[in-house]
Amino acid sequence: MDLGTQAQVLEISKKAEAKPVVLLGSPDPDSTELTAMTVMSGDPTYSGPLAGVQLELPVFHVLEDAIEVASDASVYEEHVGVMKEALDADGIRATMARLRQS
Amino acid sequence: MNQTERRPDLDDFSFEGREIIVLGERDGIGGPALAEIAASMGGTVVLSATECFV
Repeated sequence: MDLGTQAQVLEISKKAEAKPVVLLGSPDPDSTELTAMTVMSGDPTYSGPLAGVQLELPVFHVLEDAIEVASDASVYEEHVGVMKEALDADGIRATMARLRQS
Repeated sequence: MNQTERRPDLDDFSFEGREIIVLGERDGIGGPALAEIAASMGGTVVLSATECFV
């Protein structure tokens, strides 16, 4: 995750009364894991402001079924649509499930 | 901190009234698209970013 974005996430999380929720749009399992880990257990590359910072924010990926169900169907179709088929949705969902269980 | 917050149950979690950080990627789904989806779930987007994963 960009270092500037990490700084913004950290600042928002410090000021928030309740933990903000993170919604990811990453294109593959690897980038999903890296970004999710950064906002859960800290920057795994130890290069940004979130290095060693365990925010433990709730994280979802937009391709998870729960997001499709919870969102407006027409909005979801307009913005995700065929990308659900083009991207490795199964791999991303498996990655998110594994991270939640770890 | 409770376990539900850290590892939310997908079936029970509600975005209604929650602050949402959207982290999009250029090769996946971008921030503006995620922000519209987040808003449609009743959340308030407090940060929207679109990055390029390398």
